[in-house]
Amino acid sequence: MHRHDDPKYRFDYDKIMEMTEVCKQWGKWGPDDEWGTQNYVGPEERKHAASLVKKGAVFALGLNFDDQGPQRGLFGGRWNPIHTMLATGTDAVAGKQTVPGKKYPNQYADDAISLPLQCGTQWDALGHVFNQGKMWNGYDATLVSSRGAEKNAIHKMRDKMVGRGVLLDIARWAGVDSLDDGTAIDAEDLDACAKAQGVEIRRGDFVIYRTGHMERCLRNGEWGGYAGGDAPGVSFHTVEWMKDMEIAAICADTWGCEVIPNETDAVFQPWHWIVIPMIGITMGEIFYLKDLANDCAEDKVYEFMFVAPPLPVTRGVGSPINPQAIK
Amino acid sequence: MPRRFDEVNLTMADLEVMAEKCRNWGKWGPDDEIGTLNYIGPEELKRAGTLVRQGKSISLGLDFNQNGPQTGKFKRFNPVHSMLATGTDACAGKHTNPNIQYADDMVTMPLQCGTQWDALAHIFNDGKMWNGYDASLVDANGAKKNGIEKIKSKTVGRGVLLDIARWAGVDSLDDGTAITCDDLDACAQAQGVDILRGDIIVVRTGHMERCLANKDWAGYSGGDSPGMAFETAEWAFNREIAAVCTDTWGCEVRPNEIAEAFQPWHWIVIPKMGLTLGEIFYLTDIGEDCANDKVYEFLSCAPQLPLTGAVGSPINPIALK
Repeated sequence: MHRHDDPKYRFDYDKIMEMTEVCKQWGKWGPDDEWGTQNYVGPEERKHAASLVKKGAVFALGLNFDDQGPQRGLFGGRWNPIHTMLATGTDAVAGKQTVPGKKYPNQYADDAISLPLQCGTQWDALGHVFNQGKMWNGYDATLVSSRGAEKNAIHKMRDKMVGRGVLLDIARWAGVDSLDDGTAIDAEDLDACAKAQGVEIRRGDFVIYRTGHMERCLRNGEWGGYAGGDAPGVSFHTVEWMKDMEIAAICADTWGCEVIPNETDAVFQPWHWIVIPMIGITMGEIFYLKDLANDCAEDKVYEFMFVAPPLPVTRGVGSPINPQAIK
Repeated sequence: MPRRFDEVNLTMADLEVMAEKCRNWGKWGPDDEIGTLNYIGPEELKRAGTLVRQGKSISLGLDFNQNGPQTGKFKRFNPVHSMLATGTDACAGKHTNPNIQYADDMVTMPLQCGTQWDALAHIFNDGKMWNGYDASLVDANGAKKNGIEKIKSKTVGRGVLLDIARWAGVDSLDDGTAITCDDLDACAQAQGVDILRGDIIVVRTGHMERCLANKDWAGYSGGDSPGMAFETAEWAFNREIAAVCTDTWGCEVRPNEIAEAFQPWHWIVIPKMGLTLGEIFYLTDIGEDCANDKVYEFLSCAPQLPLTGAVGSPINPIALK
């Protein structure tokens, strides 16, 4: 691991352009592909994943969606979910729910939600980030308009997001409750943590790494800059690892996976520039990992069946989720 | 074979009797908020894992968009999806500070506008909800008991499809057709599948597919529909079913078999039995797949969004075979 401002790891715009070419996988699964690295998960991977259900325990990796969420308007005008009631028990008890033609009134509650699709635990669709006007597989960014994403939308992933999950508990491996903001995780750290945990990372895996950032905020009772501000996370220099390991998805307990401040002043979230549009990896963010991590530390089993179906919001570029780790 | 809704003569007195018969309050302690999902334990989960034999993943979620089944009835509308940032903006040079080209979006929707779970706080009976909690615990701030977030790791188990429409030899059951206990058993037997304690039962009537084929939702949401007969409350109770899901708006047959109450089966199964209901499931693909390979059991995983204090959640259920 290193600090974000360690001169040895600083880079400029040219490096981003270099990695753009080095990591480019456009066309790998044909000109019409909209799944990217989800293509690595096939029937064999799913069968193997199910074989990891050994003790019959389920861990929810979704943070509750409510007005106590992490959004503070730091990026993109995102807010916490607004949950409103359309019918309530108090109404029911007060006899307000009469039905025309029925002798007895209804008694029910009903509700609605207004939320940015990336305000909490979520998938980024492959249509979420662009690089020089292009998105995954070379599609033009203008295909994502006010009408939504005509390519690489989240609903294309409706039956994906199932496979073998692997937790890399970087914070525990490093012997801390939480990595400090600005701490960058190197590819060597990911490998060393996996080795120390006795788990092998394979093609088609859903790799989930824990920095402890979310738990630090929850413990402090204060999100602070969690959503868009400084954070621990993977170094830009892990982009080749992400490509070469042939993983299906990468997920973290932070807002944006990569280290902030970024290791360059040239652009914002440079790792995103490569991972989503060039490699075609689906990214999961704001994962709640405390319960799963405690269990893995206890039984030393860091692999599990992972199921995290997105809501198939037509032409959406993200989806709130409640990922399930089944051991 | 399924019968018409008006072939039985049921009254509110029958509803009272059924409510007593199917009452599970206190069964899992005075503080329980998950009801029949308690039937799914480690053994049930492990068995569900063994059902993934071919490595197939099939989605039972209807896409969420403006072409959904809602009409505004019950104040439910179809999802409103709007963009907060777009690729067109990015290409027009609008995304320079911070310097990242991206798209972002939001949705506004009733939690029960599409494929969804009902929380146990969704329906009351005589001012009470599941496990005897007072209905007034669900107020404008949401549900203080039985909220949907309580089941955040509980909707995984063995799923069983009962393809009633296919078994009955029709594309879709007619509206007003009631599926009886005998039908459920006979269909399971014909399909060669056992019903086990803790199962997530998925019932296909063909109603949604009829609407999709006609390109007209018509009365799908809240109007007439095929569905479960009132008597099947007892079937779910006796079989110790964890959840019941259908491809209809409201699971039970409409018009209802008890004329004086709206959705009388709901009055029993949610507040008295503690049964989690899934509605508006998209069953075309799973129906065809099961008909092809004759395997009607699968690992079912349908995680809700843990919306604090909510009384329902949109979902994308996954069947793994």
